[in-house]
Amino acid sequence: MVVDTKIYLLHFSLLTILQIIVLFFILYSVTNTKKIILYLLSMVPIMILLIVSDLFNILTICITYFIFKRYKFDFFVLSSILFVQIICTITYYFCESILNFVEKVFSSEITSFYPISFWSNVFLLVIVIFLVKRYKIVDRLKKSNLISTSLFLYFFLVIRLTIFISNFFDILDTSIMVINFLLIVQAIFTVLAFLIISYNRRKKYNFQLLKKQLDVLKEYTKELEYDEQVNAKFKHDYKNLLLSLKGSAENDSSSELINTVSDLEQYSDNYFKKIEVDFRHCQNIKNDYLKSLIISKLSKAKQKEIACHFECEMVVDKMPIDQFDCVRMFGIVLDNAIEAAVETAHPRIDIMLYQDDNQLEFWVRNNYVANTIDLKSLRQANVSTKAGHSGLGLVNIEEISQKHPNILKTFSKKKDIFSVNIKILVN
Amino acid sequence: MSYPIIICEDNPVQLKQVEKTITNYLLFHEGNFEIKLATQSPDDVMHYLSQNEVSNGIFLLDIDLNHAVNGIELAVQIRQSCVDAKIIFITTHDELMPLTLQRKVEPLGFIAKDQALDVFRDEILELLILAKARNDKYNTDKNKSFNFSISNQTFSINKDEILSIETSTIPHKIVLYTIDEQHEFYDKLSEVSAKHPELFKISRSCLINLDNIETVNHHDREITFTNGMTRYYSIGKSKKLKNAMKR
Repeated sequence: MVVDTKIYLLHFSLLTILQIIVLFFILYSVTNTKKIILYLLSMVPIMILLIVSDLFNILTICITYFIFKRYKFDFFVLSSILFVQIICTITYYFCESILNFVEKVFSSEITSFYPISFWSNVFLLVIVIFLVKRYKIVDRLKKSNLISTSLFLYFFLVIRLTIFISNFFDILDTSIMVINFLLIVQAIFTVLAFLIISYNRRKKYNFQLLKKQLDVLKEYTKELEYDEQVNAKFKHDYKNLLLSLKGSAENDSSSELINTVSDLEQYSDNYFKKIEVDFRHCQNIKNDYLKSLIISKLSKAKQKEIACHFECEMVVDKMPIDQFDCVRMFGIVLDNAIEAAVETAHPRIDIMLYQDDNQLEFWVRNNYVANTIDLKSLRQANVSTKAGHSGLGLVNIEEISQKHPNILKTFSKKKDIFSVNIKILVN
Repeated sequence: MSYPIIICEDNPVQLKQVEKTITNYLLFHEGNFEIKLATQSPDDVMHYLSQNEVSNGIFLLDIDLNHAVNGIELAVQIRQSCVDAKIIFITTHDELMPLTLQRKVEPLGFIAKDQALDVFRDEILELLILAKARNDKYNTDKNKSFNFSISNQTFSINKDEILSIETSTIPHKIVLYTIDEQHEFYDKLSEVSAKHPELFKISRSCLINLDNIETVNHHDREITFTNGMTRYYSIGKSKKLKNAMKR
């Protein structure tokens, strides 16, 4: 292949300009004219250096980064630059290898090699820009963090190194397919690594979030429990005082006083009659998270004026499964019960927590308006009973119970009573 | 058939009262029940049970027995030796735990002591009649129940209500669907199938009760049950299913 230096240079400069255009397209939102001018000016000497050696690419990246970065570690700018570099390098070598391949097959030289190569590059990059827009890649790049950026950097270095080595041993033309294959393997590896890492991070983050929420809940329920105790004590004292006052009023046989006292009694009875929730058995729950959950749901039910009965006769201290999974699952069941019961005329929920050597058992029974709960749709995980429902959450219960084979569930609906029983067996 | 009644109440006056209520009723309904034992001590009850075989027994127990063993513990022991016992609690307890009790001894009902005598009497009789009805039904339907157990508890499901029994994604875990319930327990589908040959196998993972089928769409191989639940049968089962449904 005869290489005309002038054509080669023209081709090269045009490709670099293309690359700059793609970069501007991505960085468009975080840049200004001053930076662009500075950047374009700095590109002139760099292009000359690039002709000398590909290795100056690293320099390009550094300079571009320092021009465009907005703060000390701007992952978005860095990963965008790397992204553009990777894409342009890949498209360039892709076109090159295809044309080389065509030449080999027809064993004749393509006369207008560079123009074809250039236009196919343009074509590919237009597709890339389209894809970037279509899949909102810019938004994704904006979320880059240390991990995704280092993976970009890793992949970029692998590509560059491969090309450098193959240039060095002058095997780029002969074994282009092997190199392409290696690059594809690397690309798959990078994407997989990224997915695994980000999945783990999200899991960890969710776990921490849940723990934080539960800790807040714990604090809150501590206060709630204290208030409840004070309330109960107050009520007790108050009733006793009222009783003795009534007694002495009757002794004095002062009709006015008797009337006033009985008025007061009536008034306060009305107040006390408001739904009372029994928090006593909560003392038996020795796991703080579970205890907070029960107390907070009981008080939520109380706020919604649901007659709520809670029993926990045995001390509950062991959790046969991960405590957070357990608390999450019970929370979902209670939320569902509250939501279903509140729609009835006389909402009522019975809750039981039970533990023996073999199992931890959780049983919730609530009334509901007939036809709002359909066991059939409960089975088909994703369906919730009504639109705008906060999600019946049964999907989540199913998900948790998939994780732990020692969970056994029972659902039943009879007349107007819906019941969920969850047994967690000790292995 | 007369069902044995056993009463345990620590207060002698109340014990007499309960006994009298029942004997008065028996004057006109002879042969339905028979008072086998009326005692103040739970030890007597356990002793009697160890000496005699009591089937379909009806137990009226006070919860607060002023004894080392309270009525609930006694009931648990009774339940262990007589699975089919009908247990009725007589109580003044305001701190009742119906769910926990239900779980532990499955009582037939509760009667509150602190109410008018005639109401008290009526409630006793009502529960006795219910106990008789349950026992009668149980005896005629004896082989109509599907039993399974989870750790130390045994559950009994009326076979008529079963729709299907299926494997789950977790090995050895089986899901049982009835018209309005869903249960999970550990077993092997092949063993369930062997034990209950009347359940029809529509696929490798699903047994169904043919009696609760509403419609079958042979084109889509879809079976719809009386409550709207649907299942699909395997290609090879088409002919067998058609034959089985004809019967």
